[in-house]
Amino acid sequence: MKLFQDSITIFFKDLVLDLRSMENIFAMLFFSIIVIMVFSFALPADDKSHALLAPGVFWVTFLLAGILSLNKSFQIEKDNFCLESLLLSPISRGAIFLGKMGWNVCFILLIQILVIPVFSLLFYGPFLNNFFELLLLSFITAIGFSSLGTMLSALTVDVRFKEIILPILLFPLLVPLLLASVKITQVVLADGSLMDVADWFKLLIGFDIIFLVISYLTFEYVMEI
Amino acid sequence: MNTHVDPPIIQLVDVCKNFGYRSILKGVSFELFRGTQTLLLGKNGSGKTTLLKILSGLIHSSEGNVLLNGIPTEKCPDQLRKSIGMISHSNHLYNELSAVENLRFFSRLRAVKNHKDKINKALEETGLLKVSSVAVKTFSSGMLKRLNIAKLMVYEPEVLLLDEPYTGLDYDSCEFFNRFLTGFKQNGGTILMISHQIETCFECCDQILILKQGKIKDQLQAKDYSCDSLLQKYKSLTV
Repeated sequence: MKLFQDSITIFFKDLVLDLRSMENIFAMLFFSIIVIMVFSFALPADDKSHALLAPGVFWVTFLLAGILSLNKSFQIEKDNFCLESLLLSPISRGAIFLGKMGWNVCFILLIQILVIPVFSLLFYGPFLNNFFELLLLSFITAIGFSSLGTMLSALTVDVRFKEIILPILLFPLLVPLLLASVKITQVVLADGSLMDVADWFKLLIGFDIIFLVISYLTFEYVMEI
Repeated sequence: MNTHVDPPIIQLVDVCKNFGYRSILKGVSFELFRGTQTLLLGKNGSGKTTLLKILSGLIHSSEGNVLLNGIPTEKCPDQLRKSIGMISHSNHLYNELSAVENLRFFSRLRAVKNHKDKINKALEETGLLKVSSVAVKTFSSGMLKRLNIAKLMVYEPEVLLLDEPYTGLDYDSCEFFNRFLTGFKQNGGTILMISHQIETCFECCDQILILKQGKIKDQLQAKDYSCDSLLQKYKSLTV
């Protein structure tokens, strides 16, 4: 019970910090818009190509913007050595992980709520018709992404050039997650049956569970380093 | 010679710390008792801060043991964290949060009972009540230090680990801080302090440890020295 109380305390602290400064929200939003615009100009302008490429472009945007969220996650703890203060508190290291991971999921979801209409406007119009399905898919994907990302973000917080190291470590591990998300998005956009992508769903949920558990269990050792 | 009746609250037994091939602490042993204040002296790079970090559980020793009430701290990490309050070089505060929000956040993590009352009292005593809802990024270094003292007042730890606590404090704040330390000690609290401002903290100290190149060079009783004679002794030992 204390574990969840502590996680919620850390979650709300991060929420307040991000909403108060707003710089991370604006940075992620503008970065997403820029990525979508670059793809929009770089790829053939016909509807057929955009329909075909939309799932891939959407998840690449998610991935690139998500990295910004992960990078800032532990940076706020490094400023003024607040991480030391957290570690000196009589709380489970797992509570720090769950609180941070939870806020990262919500933060990414918040950005996705804003990005999906922008994506629909700039890249592929029919995207907005499946807003809630895509939001739910974003939520499931964000759990796996944030679980692994939060752990690796903590691991690289003291490393030089961590902005480069984190994607190098994270991106290869995320391949199964993104592959599943792209495949499911293709079916959602084509109004197909979700039974066709049941295996990809299993992969997505399996990824979430495995990396949530592994990251939670290893976080204590990550903090020791 | 140990003149204390109670067992020590903290015991260090042959503590060593290596960072790679570099040996920072080389077999440090001493004891801290309830109701006492110990001053840890040593030149820059002698291992004082590393020792404090080991005591607080932030880092582990390479060899040797740290005992809290006779139990190795690895076996009771939560008890250690509950027992210890720390002030170090850095603020340990969130810039975007206000003074009261910072205190509320950390007291929730420590499950402090009646934290609202304690926070109000601590802010009042530290003279920060009027600025309690202002973001700490606008605070001066002295105000930040006082807020850290307020944090300790709310936590009510058994042991205080203080790394240069007087830095950034004006004369009145130093006086206030010394009064707080005296009260803390009288209530049975234990203090281990690193400070180069020996004149400011000498009066409150009971024991002085001199650390040189990772070893305890000498362990002195404050009552046997005046401030000047202690300074001379320190200089002669650390040459």
